[in-house]
Amino acid sequence: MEGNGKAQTELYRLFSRKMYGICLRYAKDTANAEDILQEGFVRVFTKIKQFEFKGSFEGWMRRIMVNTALEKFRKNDRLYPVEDLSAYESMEYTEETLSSISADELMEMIQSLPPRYRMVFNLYAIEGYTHIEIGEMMNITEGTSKSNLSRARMILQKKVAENFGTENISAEKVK
Amino acid sequence: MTTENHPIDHLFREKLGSFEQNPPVGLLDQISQEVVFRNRVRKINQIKIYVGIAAAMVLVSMAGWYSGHLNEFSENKTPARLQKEVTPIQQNIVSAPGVSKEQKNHLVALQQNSGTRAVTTNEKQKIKQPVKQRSVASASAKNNGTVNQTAVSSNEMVTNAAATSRNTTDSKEVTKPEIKSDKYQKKSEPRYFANSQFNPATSTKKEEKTSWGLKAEVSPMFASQNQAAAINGGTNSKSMNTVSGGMIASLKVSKRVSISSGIRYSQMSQSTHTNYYMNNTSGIVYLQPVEKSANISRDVTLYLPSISSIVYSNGMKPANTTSFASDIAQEFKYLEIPLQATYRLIDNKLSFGLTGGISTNILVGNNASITENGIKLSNGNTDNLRNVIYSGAAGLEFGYDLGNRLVLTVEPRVKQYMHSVSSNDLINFKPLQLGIFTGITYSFNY
Repeated sequence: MEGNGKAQTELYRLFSRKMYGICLRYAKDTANAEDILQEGFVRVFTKIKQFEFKGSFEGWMRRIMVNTALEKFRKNDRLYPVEDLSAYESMEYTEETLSSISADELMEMIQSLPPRYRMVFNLYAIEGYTHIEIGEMMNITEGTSKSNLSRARMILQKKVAENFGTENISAEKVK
Repeated sequence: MTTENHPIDHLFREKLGSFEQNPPVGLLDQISQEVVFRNRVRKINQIKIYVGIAAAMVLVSMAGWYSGHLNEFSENKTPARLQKEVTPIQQNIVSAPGVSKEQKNHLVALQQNSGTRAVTTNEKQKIKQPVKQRSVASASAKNNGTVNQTAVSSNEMVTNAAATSRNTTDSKEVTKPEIKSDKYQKKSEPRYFANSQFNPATSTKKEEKTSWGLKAEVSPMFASQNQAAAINGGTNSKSMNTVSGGMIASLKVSKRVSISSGIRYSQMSQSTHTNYYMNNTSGIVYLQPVEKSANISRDVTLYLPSISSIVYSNGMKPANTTSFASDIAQEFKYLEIPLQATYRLIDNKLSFGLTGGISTNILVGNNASITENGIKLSNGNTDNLRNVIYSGAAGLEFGYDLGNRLVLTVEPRVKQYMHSVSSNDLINFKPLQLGIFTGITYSFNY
């Protein structure tokens, strides 16, 4: 594969859409996502010999993309201001409200999160990693991971409330 | 995998879990170019490593060969070929009748110093001839073409010795053999019997001195960088003084020049102090404290926002703060492999010389801590540090002989890092350090 242009093109054609979707979630904007995707594919093409055919190839690529995003996050980890979000903790939404939100709008919301919260939320809520695993990946404690997830949720709740209105209906309905 | 199903998690997972989007056109070309570029860089790096290893091996081989032959050069003032060619005839002469005891001793000493070799058939035939016959033959210059010029001169000497032997036998008086002028022998070459006080033990005393040396050295390192920048109230970075020391092996390649290499431990340390003044913004601002072992970027202050009040996410709240002070302490530790050359202008009991070279510095330690408003938040490390950086050094060397083998050296030396310690483009930190290395050198005579 290494150095094989046709094979690389085919691989890119098969997986680039999915991988770009992942990169967008971990990035703050499209430019950042393109950087992650480019670096991720370069690593896939140069390290493909390391794939041991254990598990799916797509899963392997996905991990490379996530790790690349985490590395970029570590290089650019800065102190970020966060607003006091306790006022939004009790907000709940109707099923109609939530279903009307498009994926692009949700993507915009997730990209607006502070980098650390975005990472933790992605890893926990979408990728399904545990707080212990996230702590190891991000070099933070389990408690910090939980705290960051909680704040990420609050910020996202606030954004949903601001953009799509709020009602005092149980959140259970959305499950 | 987690089992918790928070509504927000559920919402995002459902709609973004399998989200797909076309990447921008042309990205594949960029990726392909990058792959080609990295493969090329990787190959070049591999070649560099191989060339470096080969060069090191050649250097070591040359140094070994040179040091091995240094002794030989100094001891063998007489060409080896000349010595070897006379050996078989000398053996015959020693056993020849009429040769005095003193003459025999001279010849035995000569044999011992000239080594042994296989005797050629031609020479064996000559050896079988009586001494007298051969002497006459050589005296009348009837040697055939197989005997070269040096052999002729040897024969002449032997002839002379034999002739003298006959004379002394006749007169019943033993005298030392006279040396006949040898027209084939170079003026610079010493003659065999010209100096009967030949003594290999004393002939190379001067050259034996300090071929190899091992030095232990240590120095305080004075840093020069002290910069200030006006960022949101003012930032001041100050390089801290540290120490450096190690073991250095040196090889004296000529009377005045020596090269040295070894391993040295060195440190760099920097303290950055920043003051912030509050601007008017609304709401409470959280500052995320740096977690244990997390990365601290040196330019972290560039990204801090203007704030009106501070609440740390770990619950600490410095109330009613109107200013905000931050101290970042950074420490980088390196193992340094120097390659230095020294030229001695004065090489007596008190020596003086110029020294200079380059070093490879390998990062082995990286610590950082951040203190805000007097509260030490956490320890971490500095991000984006280069693992290997190169530096150049130049200075003076003063030496004082403490005895036959020990030399005390004092070397004021300036060290300049050739690259920034950080790979971050925003940071250009190339420390300049001054050290006064004090060391003791132990010489191994060869």
